[in-house]
Amino acid sequence: MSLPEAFAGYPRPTGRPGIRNRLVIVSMCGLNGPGARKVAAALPGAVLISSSYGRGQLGADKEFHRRMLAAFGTHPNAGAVVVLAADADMRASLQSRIEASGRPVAGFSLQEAEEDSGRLVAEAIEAGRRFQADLANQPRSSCDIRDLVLAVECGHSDASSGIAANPLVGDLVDALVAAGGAAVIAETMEWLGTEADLRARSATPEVASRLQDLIAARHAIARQAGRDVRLGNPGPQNHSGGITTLEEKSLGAISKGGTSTIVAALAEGEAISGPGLHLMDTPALSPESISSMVAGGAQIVIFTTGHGNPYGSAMAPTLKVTANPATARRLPQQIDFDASRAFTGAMSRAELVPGLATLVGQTCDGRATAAEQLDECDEVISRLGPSI
Amino acid sequence: MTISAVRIHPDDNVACLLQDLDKGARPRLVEMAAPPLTSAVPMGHKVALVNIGAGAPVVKFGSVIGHATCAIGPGDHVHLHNLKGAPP
Repeated sequence: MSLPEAFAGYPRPTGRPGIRNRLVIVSMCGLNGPGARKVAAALPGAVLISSSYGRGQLGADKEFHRRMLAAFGTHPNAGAVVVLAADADMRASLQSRIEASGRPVAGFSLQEAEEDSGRLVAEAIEAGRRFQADLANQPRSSCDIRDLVLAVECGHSDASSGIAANPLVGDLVDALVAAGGAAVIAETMEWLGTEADLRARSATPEVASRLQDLIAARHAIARQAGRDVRLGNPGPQNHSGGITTLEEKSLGAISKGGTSTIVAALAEGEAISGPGLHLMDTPALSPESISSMVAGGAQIVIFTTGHGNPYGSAMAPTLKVTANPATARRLPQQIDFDASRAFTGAMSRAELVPGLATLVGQTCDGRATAAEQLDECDEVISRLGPSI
Repeated sequence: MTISAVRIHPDDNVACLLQDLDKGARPRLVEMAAPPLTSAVPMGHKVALVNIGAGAPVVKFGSVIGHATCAIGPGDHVHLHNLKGAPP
């Protein structure tokens, strides 16, 4: 195993260090969207976090959106932040939370610009340019691997995912957790049939009980919509690929999280506060799931795929791993780590772990991922309920 | 020597084939040569490494993925005809 003990990152006044020093544009309201896109376009390299809503949201959905926007504004990879809002109160609510994290932040609202979006855009770009000049001059310094939070996702999976790519990434997660770091996996619908296993792996009865509650709540959502998520699962395609049971299919997915004790069961987007393996309740769509884990504090993402998948997080560098040799050949520009030798039998899984660990270390030190180079990155905030 | 099957976790009593193999072939794992196959088995599918009695757990990823619905012998294809998961 060649997971380094330290990486060259960006220590922050509060919280964990970053592995990138991004300028983040947080657009809090749908009214700011068009202007926010102009601001981001004028500031190459900036990350745009944009909520298309912001008025008339209720209860859990309102609270969740506020929490997610604040989480991105105070994310370890955020070096400085520009806040765009509809009105002064909305702007101040987020700006003060980001200021409290010790980050440089500038805020602008349509109300304070007298509803003149052109003026707001010009002022925000000017502030963003100043921030970017400062960010570019900040040096990296040595950070402890124990301050790293790794999110793991899988998407467009096939037989190579469960047999090779996911267990390989699971080995890496085990190594990071053993070194004192943190990891998180998500997508509640991928845990079907493994609930008893997950409870048994939980650190305490409280963790097991919270996990069960989160799973039950997600099932209730499906039932309410008349969906039986276990019906016809696994399907004919799974069967022809060699998957027999639902437990087996789900275990193949969660094998990407390794074998460590589960230290916490988290709600969507909830903060990852300590070391160890975390489970987060999220929807199945990768953009929603990844954004929720990144908002929880993950600085880096590993995304395994069978058939390929271009998507990456905008906040957290996202490494693509495939064990399907045809996919690795067809999409060399998209795949960061070709694990197909563990699937063709040319190498054992154990022989591939050091190479993946080295790549993770290099990515923390600043090496650009394929998704960063292709600029196929975004953040997506789930809706938890309708607006009025 | 190319590996032709993989036991994902050391506790597993099945291995997954990395290529289509004919009846009589002996899948090669990193740690051992598996028993000869009692039928042709496609890539990605499971084969028993040991005797698995009727009703006994089938273990993959180090976890129980279901139970044998009949006696399974070493080298047998393990799939819908002899393995069933927990009822929904």
